[in-house]
Amino acid sequence: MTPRLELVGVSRTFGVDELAVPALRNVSMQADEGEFVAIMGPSGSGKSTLLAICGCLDVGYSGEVLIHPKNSGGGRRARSVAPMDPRTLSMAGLARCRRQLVGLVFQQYNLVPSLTALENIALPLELDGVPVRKARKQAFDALTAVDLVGLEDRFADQLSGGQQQRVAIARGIVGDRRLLLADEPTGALDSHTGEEIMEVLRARADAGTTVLMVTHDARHAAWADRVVFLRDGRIVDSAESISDPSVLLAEHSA
Amino acid sequence: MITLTPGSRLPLAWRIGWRDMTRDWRRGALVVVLIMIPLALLIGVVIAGTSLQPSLRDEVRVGLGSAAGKLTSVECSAQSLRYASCDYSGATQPVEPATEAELLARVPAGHHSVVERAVFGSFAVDGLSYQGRLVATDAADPLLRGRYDLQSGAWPTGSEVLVNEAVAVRYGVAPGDSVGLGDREYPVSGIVHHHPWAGQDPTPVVVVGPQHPFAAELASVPSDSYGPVVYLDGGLPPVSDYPAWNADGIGVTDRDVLLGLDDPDSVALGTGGGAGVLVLMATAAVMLMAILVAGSAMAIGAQRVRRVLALLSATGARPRMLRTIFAVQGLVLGAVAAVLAIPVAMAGAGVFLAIADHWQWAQVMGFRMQSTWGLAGGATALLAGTLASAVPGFRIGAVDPVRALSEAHRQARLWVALVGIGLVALSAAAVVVVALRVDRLRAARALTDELAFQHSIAVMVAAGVAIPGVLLAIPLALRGVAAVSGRTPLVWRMAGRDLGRSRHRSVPVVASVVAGSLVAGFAVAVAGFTVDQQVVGHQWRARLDEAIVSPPEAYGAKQLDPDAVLGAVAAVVPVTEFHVLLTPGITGSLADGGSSVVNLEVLDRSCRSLSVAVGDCPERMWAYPSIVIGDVDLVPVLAGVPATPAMRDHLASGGALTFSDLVLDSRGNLELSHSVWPRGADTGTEHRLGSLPVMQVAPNGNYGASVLVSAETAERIGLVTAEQPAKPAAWLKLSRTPTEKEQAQIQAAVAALDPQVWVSVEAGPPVGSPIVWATVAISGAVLLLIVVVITTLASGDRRRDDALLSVLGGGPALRRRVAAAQALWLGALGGVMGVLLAAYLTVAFFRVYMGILPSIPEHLAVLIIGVPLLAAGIAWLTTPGRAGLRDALISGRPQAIGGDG
Repeated sequence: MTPRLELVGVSRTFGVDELAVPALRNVSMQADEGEFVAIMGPSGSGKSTLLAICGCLDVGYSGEVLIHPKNSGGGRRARSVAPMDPRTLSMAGLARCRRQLVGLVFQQYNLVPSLTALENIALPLELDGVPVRKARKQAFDALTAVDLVGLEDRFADQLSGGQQQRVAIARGIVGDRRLLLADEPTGALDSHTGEEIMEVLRARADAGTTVLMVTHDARHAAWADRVVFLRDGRIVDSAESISDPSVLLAEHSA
Repeated sequence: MITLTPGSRLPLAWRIGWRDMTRDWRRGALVVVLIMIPLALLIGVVIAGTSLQPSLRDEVRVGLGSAAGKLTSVECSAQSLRYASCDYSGATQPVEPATEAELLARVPAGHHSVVERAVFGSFAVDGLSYQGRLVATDAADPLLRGRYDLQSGAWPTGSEVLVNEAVAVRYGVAPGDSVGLGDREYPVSGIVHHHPWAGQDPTPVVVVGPQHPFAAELASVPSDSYGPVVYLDGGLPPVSDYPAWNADGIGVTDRDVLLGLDDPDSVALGTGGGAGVLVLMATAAVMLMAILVAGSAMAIGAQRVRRVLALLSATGARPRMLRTIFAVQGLVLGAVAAVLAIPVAMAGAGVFLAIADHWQWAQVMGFRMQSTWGLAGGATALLAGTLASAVPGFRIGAVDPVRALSEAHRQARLWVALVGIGLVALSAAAVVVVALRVDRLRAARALTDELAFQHSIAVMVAAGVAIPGVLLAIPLALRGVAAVSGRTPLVWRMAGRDLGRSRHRSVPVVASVVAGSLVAGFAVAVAGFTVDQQVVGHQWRARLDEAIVSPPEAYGAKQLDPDAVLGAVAAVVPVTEFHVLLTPGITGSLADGGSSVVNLEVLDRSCRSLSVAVGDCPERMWAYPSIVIGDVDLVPVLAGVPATPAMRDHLASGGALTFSDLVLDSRGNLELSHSVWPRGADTGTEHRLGSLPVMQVAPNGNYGASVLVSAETAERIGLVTAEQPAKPAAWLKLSRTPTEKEQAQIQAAVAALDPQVWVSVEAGPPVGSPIVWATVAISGAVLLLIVVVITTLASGDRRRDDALLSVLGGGPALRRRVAAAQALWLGALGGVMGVLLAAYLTVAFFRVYMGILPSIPEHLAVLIIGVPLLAAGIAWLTTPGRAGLRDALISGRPQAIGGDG
């Protein structure tokens, strides 16, 4: 399998001297194309920090992070074949990384309230200078992929939580982006809606998108191909998908 | 041991309000400034206004000095005590005015008196002649202290003279210089503080002593306005004797009687109902602006603490308690604004009055700060602060604690009822305006007093309804902005939709801009119209930058030498164009003192072009000769339009070109006649010169001459004869507008050639567009400050959205563009609404109180276009480039936007 994301010896510390807090310690992992990886761990274990680093939001780390932008199918919008370390990018480069390569999904949806669902999905493309008509066509394709046809002209406050999260997912994958980072995507949803979101994420992974998902919910982690456990900034375990990850969760959260 | 923090002893709502206010002291300071500035401006204007208005005591001081009273010559049997002038309203009988000797004869024995004699005449400084008041009196006499106060130099002796401050400042005269009176120069010994009348514009005054050589000349000049005045230290008759004295042509002014008429120190602001209404309107508009702008700042601040309010509500606090939190802040901030506004107003007014007094712009009666205005100002500030706190407090009761605690971003409901009321109010105001227009037309332009009163009430009510109507319609306007933005590029779409959907923030912001634009627009409209009125009311003698030198009309006077005139004028100001205008010779004075005139049988007999009643023709520039003899090349000079071949042919064929239909008779013909009136004769002889075919030429603007005929035609019909040849007048176009000094120099230079010629130099109305542009600059700056401050405050509410844009890959430029677009939307929307309201108020005020339909100056476009553009530029510059990104990036925590890992 072709790697999409590689972390080699990544460490991240906040603060200095006696106030220094190591959020990540020598983390190494790899996520392949189309792989669905769940990241679990207790509060303060470094999950969100890991996601921020992978999402070109945080460059204060040491080690190496490699994002492989070109998919095996030869994506049109990939700017380079060589893997890219966010730490080597300029501010403009990081912004481009977030527009073109990485999709982010948050617990609180974080849709722009003054844009419709379709416009929210098209936002990364419009930010990238794609003509509006073309951007909206691609956005409609992404909206279709998350099964929201018919709701494209609604604003965020006119959508349910699950629908908003689907819009956020669609925004994360629009433009053929192949790396989707989700931080507690079901945290604000009821169990039934949460399952629906997991179905969407699973479908995206099956379609070739690499999904990294932070979660506290073992049932949702079961949807992943692999579960990585973090504790005190280190990966303490990594397991292939199991039917009942709650056992591992109980084992590692003691 | 429990340590009590500041405010711990206050009731809960007061404690929270006080601590929130002190923690967010910058917002509090902003609210104070937003209330204080307009209030200080208003109080300062009132202070300056009352300081320029004389009280009764001022009138007595200026009018009587230290004298107990004065005796004056009067022409009628009843007089006003206050001004010793005639009262023509009642049964008055004309009397022979008393002479100076008769006045002096009435001074009781043992009482000291001083005589003052004055005429309006001319004096010279550095060879230039100026107009002013010439006075002969002993200004140093203690009786006149307060009326004449020495400012510099010394009291005059011998042939020395005094000048007042107006002469010193305007013409640069100092002790040791000299002024010309008559045909001699006299040294200036000192400068006095002296005004002939209290509260009037400073008049130049030259004072000579009673034994001065020029005093006798003054005494020989009859003056209907400034008869002799005798000031005395006592012995005045009782009021019951006044009728008898009046019958002898003597008016009595007694200091004690005057001061007993009214409160001697009270000052009425303005000169009548119109000024009072203007002040009330300005007060209401200014306070509305202060309340809305300050309220916006508080409303925006309330949004930031909505979680706290939600917690209080969820814990059981009643809406009244939540409102008290803001009411406390409003009261305290209003009180601080009141305390600051009064000294700021006093300082500003003091500076203005000092400058006005120094440069003699106006007569400053003294610095007046009436306690009632101070108290009213303080109360107004408190009220403004309290009402400002009501803006956020209005919806406090509707806060949904669950939603607010979850920070759910849900669009505020559009209060359809309120918007509907606003639209109804606007419609009602529009209906009133249309109805007034219809009513006025129906009254066929003749408004009775009763109808005018009804109209004024209706207009004021409509204005009072229109303002809240506009404010209530703002949410609808914002919804329109959001709808219009739907098809625009991303930046405009985000900016417009955010305005329309975040009404909790954008409504108070737009309301603030509307209020600011209303006040700014009203100030500009009034300034522009005032300047227009000065232009309209200006008595044009010729077109701008023209000089016309007319020949003397006396019989036997020498002919004007136009070339010499050209040389004399060009030596002062370069001349770009010069023409000689020939006028008929049969006009003017006869050898025996009679008159010889050429008449036009005009349509309107009150506007005879060549008779003495030229003042009845307001459209005519009287410096121009009425009939000019010349060729078609003079048409551009006389009428300001180009000459045509048809005009040339018409002149050549013996016709006349006319530039006004007033010179035609009822049949449309130009009838000329010549009449001679010997001196003392009751009738004259008149013979008809002829009727000329007419071609009417529409002049460009105010026309000059009335008729142009060719030399051949003039000779053929007898307009000119060998005995009375055509007289030349000189017409000059100056290269620029001459200053006042240059105008005087031109007058002097031409008078040096022939003192009998009449010189008219037209420099236009005394004031012009600089005042309007100054008002635009000040108003625009204040409005820009309001827009920038309020939009900057509001942008803090967009931090979350800005961070999201950064996370999604939008760069700093995008955020700046969105901020600039929002500032542009807000400035433009609020500006248009406010300026339209201001235009409506201006039209309403001037139409009702002055009966004039004002012109709305184009300078208002600066407020609608320039201010929003500048605000957008400032928003662009001040939007932080890294803030949103820092939240998400440098802190390394995606939970800046979501998640808690």
